[in-house]
Amino acid sequence: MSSRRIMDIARLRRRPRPRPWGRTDLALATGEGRTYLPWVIGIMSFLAALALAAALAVSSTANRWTLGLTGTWTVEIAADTAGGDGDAMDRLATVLDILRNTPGVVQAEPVDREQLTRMIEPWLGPGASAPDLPLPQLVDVRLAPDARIDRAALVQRLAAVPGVTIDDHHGWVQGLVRLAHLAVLFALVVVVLVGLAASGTVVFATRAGLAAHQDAIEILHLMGAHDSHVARQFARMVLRRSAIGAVLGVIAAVATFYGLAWAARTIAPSILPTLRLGALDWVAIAALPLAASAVAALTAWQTVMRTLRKML
Amino acid sequence: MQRDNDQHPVVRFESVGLRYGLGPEILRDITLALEPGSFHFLTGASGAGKSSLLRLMYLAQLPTRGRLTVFGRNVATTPRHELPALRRRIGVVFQDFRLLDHLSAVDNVALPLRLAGADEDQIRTHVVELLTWVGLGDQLHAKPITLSGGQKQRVAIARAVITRPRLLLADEPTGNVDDQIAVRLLYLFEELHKMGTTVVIATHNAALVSRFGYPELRLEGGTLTRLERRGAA
Repeated sequence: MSSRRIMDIARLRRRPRPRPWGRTDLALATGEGRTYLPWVIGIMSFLAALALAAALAVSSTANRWTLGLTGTWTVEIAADTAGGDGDAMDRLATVLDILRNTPGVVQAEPVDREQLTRMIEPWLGPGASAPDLPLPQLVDVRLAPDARIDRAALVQRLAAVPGVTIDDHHGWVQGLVRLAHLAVLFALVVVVLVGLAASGTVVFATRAGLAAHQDAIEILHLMGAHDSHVARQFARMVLRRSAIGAVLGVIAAVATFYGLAWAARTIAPSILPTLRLGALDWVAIAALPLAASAVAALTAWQTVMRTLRKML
Repeated sequence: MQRDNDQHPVVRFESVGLRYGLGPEILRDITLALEPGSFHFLTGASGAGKSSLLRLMYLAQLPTRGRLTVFGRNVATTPRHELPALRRRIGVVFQDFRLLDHLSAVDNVALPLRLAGADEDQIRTHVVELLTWVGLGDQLHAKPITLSGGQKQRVAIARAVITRPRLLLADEPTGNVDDQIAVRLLYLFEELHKMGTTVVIATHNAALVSRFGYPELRLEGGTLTRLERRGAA
């Protein structure tokens, strides 16, 4: 036996035992889809993750606002320039007296002018602090958690004071809840549409791969390979490339989200809400690359199986 | 999985016809039974339909009429998922080799064994031995693109016989090798035949046909004639 033969055999024996899941008979790593598939899946995942993060953040903010407003009322005493400051103070004192003597009201505190000015400054600019600007007097009312207050009776009692209105935030909270639901629904629609587009891309990429390797696939077929043998190789290739793209896409989306949140905090902190995500929101976003890769691999598998079924 | 019934012909054609699309009939009224352990040469002019007949035998094509039975199974009615098991019992040497260019000679030859789920250590041992036997011991890791036509053909033959198939079909297996290698390869086919493999070799090499003296199946005008010969080498 020649030394070269011995070396060849030794080389073969030194080779690690191929693992069934790692072996590939098709040169898929050199296919056309090698470069563009991770990019497409990456961009799709970026869009889906951004939509999801935005919706979850809006939903979370709406929840925070809703929680903050539940159990609170705001009583507004209209500014009356004719009556002067003394009249305004009298009306405030009457309102506070009525409120503080109403069972179920835990706290009734007037909002001072400085605080009120800060609230309207983003809309009116520096002119909001002008002393001659007529501003209503607001009273923050906090109710006991299980309070059952007869709103109509209270309104009637307060009606004795001119220019008083009560806002129980009901309409505002309902609007917020609707907005949050719409945002989540919109995000889900975007995720589904992006998923469909990504699946379509995977189908085309897989078909292109099948066409490019048609001869090799036929050889495997004629040697007795089952369809699943070929499908597994395509699914594995798509899974690997999709996972790379999806992970990078989601990382980019999270970075963009934080960039936007930072910009919102820096540019208009009092108008734009703080964008924050909860633990469960992070779980949903982290699951996106897994779901995207799994859907892509499954799509590739189905595409190959469906195509090969047409062969004898 | 179906049982192989040795009493039945390995391949049986009954009034088989084949046409591609709406074209003329390439094969007409082929009636033939290949008994287990038989050895046949398939001859005929270029375009006579030799490759088409072989394609029917290795289950790459369904006949357009008639009945084709392989290992006792009617291929038209055999469920598709059972065909791979039949194909694994057939070794094929393609006229254009059809090696996988990204795989080395060793991996090309190992492919049928891997598909059959053979043990990797055994695969390596057998593949190296066979490639060495066909004179490619120094080209184990060569990719097909670096091999000559004759070397590719030997790799293709090694791939076809590595599983000791029950039926070996070879389309011009000696077309790219010199006479000495051609005879050597025929001896390899003969060895397999002696171990019970049914062999069909499509060839233009009349000298080889007469030298080995096995029965000849001659295709002319889409019809098949069987010629008996005597005086094998």
